[in-house]
Amino acid sequence: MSEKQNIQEVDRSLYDFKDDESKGFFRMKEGLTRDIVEQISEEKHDPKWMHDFRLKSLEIYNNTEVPNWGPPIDGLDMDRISSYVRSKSNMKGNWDEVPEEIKNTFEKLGIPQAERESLAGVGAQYDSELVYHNVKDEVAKSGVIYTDMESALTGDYADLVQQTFMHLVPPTDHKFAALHGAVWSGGSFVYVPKGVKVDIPLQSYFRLNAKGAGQFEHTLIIVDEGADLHFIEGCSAPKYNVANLHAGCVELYVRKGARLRYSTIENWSKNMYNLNTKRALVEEGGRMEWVSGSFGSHVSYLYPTTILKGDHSHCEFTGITFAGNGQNLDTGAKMIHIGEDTSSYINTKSISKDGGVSTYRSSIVIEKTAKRAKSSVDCASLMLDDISRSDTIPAMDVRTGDADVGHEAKIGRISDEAVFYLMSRGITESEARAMIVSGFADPVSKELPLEYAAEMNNLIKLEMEGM
Amino acid sequence: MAELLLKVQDLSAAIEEGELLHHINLDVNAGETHVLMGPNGAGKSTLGYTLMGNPAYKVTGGKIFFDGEDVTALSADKRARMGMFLSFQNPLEVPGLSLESFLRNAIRQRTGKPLKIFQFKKELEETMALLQMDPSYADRDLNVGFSGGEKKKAEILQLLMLRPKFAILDETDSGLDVDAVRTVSRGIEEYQKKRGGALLVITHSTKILESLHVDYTHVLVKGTMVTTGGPELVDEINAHGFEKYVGKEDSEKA
Amino acid sequence: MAQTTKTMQVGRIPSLTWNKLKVNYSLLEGDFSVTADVATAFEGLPEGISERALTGEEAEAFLSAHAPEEKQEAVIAGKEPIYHPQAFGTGLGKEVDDFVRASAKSVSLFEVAEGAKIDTPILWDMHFEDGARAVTSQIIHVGENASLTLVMTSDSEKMASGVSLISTRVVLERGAQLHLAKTQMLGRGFLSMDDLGAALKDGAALTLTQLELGAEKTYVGTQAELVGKASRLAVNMGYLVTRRENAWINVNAVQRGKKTDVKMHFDGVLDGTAQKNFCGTIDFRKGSKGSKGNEQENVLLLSDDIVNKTLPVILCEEEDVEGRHGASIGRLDEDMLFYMAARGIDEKTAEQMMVRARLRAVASAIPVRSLRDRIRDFIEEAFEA
Repeated sequence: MSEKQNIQEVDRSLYDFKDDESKGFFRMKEGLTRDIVEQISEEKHDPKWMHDFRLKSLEIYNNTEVPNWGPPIDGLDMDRISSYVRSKSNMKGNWDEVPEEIKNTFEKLGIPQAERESLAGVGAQYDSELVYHNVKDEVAKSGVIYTDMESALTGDYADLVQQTFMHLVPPTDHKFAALHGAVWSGGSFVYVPKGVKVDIPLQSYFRLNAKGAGQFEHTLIIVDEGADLHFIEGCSAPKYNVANLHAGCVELYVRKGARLRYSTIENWSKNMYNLNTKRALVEEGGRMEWVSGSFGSHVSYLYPTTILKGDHSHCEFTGITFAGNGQNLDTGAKMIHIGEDTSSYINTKSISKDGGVSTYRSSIVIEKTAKRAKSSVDCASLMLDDISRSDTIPAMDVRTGDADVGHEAKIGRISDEAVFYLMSRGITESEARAMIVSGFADPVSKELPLEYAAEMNNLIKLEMEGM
Repeated sequence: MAELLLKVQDLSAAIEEGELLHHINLDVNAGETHVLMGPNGAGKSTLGYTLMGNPAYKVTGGKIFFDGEDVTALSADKRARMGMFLSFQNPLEVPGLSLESFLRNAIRQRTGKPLKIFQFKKELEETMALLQMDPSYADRDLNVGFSGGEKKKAEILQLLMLRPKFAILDETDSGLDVDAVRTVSRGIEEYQKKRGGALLVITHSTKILESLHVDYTHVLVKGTMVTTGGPELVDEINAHGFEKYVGKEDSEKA
Repeated sequence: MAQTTKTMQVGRIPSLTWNKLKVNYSLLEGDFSVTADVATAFEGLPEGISERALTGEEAEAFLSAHAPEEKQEAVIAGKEPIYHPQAFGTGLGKEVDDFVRASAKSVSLFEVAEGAKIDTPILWDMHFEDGARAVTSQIIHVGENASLTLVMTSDSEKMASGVSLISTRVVLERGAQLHLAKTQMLGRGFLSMDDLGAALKDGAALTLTQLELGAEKTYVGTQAELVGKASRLAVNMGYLVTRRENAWINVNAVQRGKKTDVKMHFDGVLDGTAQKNFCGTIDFRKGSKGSKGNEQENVLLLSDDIVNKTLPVILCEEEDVEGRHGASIGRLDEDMLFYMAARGIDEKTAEQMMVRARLRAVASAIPVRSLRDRIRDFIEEAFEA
């Protein structure tokens, strides 16, 4: 606790600096038409298959309805969203070469510092394109590939990319997956060769600075047999009074006996529609771990999905969602058990405050082939006032008699007794409440690297202020 | 001539997280009473579970013989039918299944013969009286809504009704008041004396042993049997605690 | 008579989720046109109870006078309204309700006078002939501080087919207590729909004991509105779905009043190629301060060819509440198996004992011994080849 408190407090304004777009920016005109998709494809020098893929995805997008469940997305008007914005800068491998304004933004977010101190590699995306990418030498020497998605399309791993790109999340999956397929841009490609254990994390940071724009980065990670990786994703944006859209896509392949931990601290501004899709495929004996903190966005639909295909594969999901004023965050996880003796565990916390709406939504599917599969879900919700809302909508679908599926959920408030106990030890009421909320979030924060746990605690503190 | 009933030979057992029992040896003759003591977390209950065949505990080495037969690989129900019994620290609740009908089922399975209802009823009544259990408990759902003491009595009732040759009593006295301990002890005495049953009593208090004849005392520390002695060892531990034995398990291993 | 096929949306859950899971509602297609009457003649009802037939209009007027007021702003989370527009909500929803209104000749109003404490259980047996398609509709109105135990049973010959739609609406006045026990033991070709809606006023208590044991297709819907302060709902449901049967269960407890209490327990057994869909919702509305809601479903899976879907939902827009739900799906718990084994009982026997135990535990609340015996026999028969 004390270590975390020592770290400097983060001010919300830190996330809020904006660009003067008149200077050297390329911005696609708003809306979504075939012309615009063609133009993006041309800008990005797509291979032919990708060009065709984009157009096919657009067609699917146009023929797919918005979901009839979940938070309202009426405020999202695609005709007012620019799907492609980039600064006039190519990707750099050295922070000194990154344009001053952009570099300043990332400096303020602490990315270069974190890279020096605790990361194996960093990718930084600014609006639609990666502006910085670098991997530490010793990591690169072990054969780890960490590059931007566009380079991967034409590089040594082009075939692998073509064989895996949007195979886990096909454009037919839902409307915003189709949108992603049509206009995706930026993101990272990671390949960890067989048996290589990367012992410090790689990180990508996504920053959407442009007003009324969409960010559609694609992250593709392949952790080969017996390899091990921790990947961290951070997201933020300044607040504008028009809607922004994030419809990224994350595809993760965890091969035989490999392990991947994917951690996210999402702090998009509160005008963001975060319609993100994340999916992992785990082979025999592989292990997938998700750690997910959702603090930002106006509306979120986020349910990382894990397909436990290989026998004895395992997945753990740890998540926290904090919905404050003006936020409707619909988050959770999906587990699909296919292999024998597969196991999954979900542990989530959600907090609702100041009229915020948080929904925990999940589905556990145990296919007929998943003999002796085990799954257990534990979710807890905290209501901090009576103008907020918290829903829990878990689904379980079990198709073999041999499964063992358990679910526990609780909802409640901060206990008056606990507040009184802390106050009787000389702690003020608001501090006591903040401490209890931090304690509630603790199972999630202790899964994060220290710096991120500190950031998360600060975000909680920020959210709790003024109570 | 003492008849060897249970032979534990160089037994090691583990759960997923690691090994809990190391190279245990133990011989119990028919009719003998053994006491197993040890500090918290020593592995006493683990030994009970492993002897009874709980699938959560995997035998990683050694063998268990019962009544001259190697039972190491047998399932718990087969061991029970051969005459082994384990009383649980926390007996499970079964709504919808009455204590009486549970006992009938268990006896039928154990003997493989139809039950003589009249004789069963009479015996049940007498045994419940001995344990000062209200006769209405026979119709109540197994362990549902029973107090801690009532659950322990129901375990002893099963012990007396099922007539095993060898019973492991796992902390049967924990959480009981003085009167309940006395009643439970009476039940155990009945099993020991009138039915000639052998016992392995797992306990860390000595209240329950006051009225029982003890043949041997064993001390388990960190999964290793560190010493074995007569009934006097109970008093010694009672007076001096386990301090003297803690640390000894390392030399045992070496 | 001309064949009239109809499609109804049945048992729509309060808060929709992924359509791919096929749990949001069931579409039921078939010929439901009524061909039979189920006699509900009561002889010698005790003093304090009356029974008479209402016309459709009279019944509507009665129900809307007792229906909870729905505030428009109450539902903000999803983009669809949480409940279907129904004057008096039921678990199977509007389309079933509309069909009942169009098909039932009359609605039976069963009333208990204010303060009347009826000690002996009232038995309401409905026997269905093979091939019968029948709709019955009743309103149970229990007056202030009155109490009643009502035991409703529907059955037919073991191999009979047909359609049974039973629509029961319950209105409990202040301090009223109703123990409603419903047992369904219909034949193996039956489609059974049991639709329940209830409104509870201050201090009222509804105990619902329900056993769904027979029929080929079973739909059970309950919506209980805990409008009054300190009103209480206890649901104990047991279901047995075997062979090629399927069941759809949708139970909603809407907690509106202060200090309301909901306890729901569901115990199910699936065998053969059975398919079951269960959604149980605890819905804390604004103003339900001090309320508690607890829900548990335990499903025992006896075969590898079953499909079990479970959705335990909590919706909450009030701070000062305590909600919990749990579900446990699978074979017998390992600890339980070991306990049984340590007493010499093998796995197969333990499983058989537990199936019976679970359903009997639910049946034990029915205060009619002869019915409990019939239930026991029905369960034994259900497991026969």
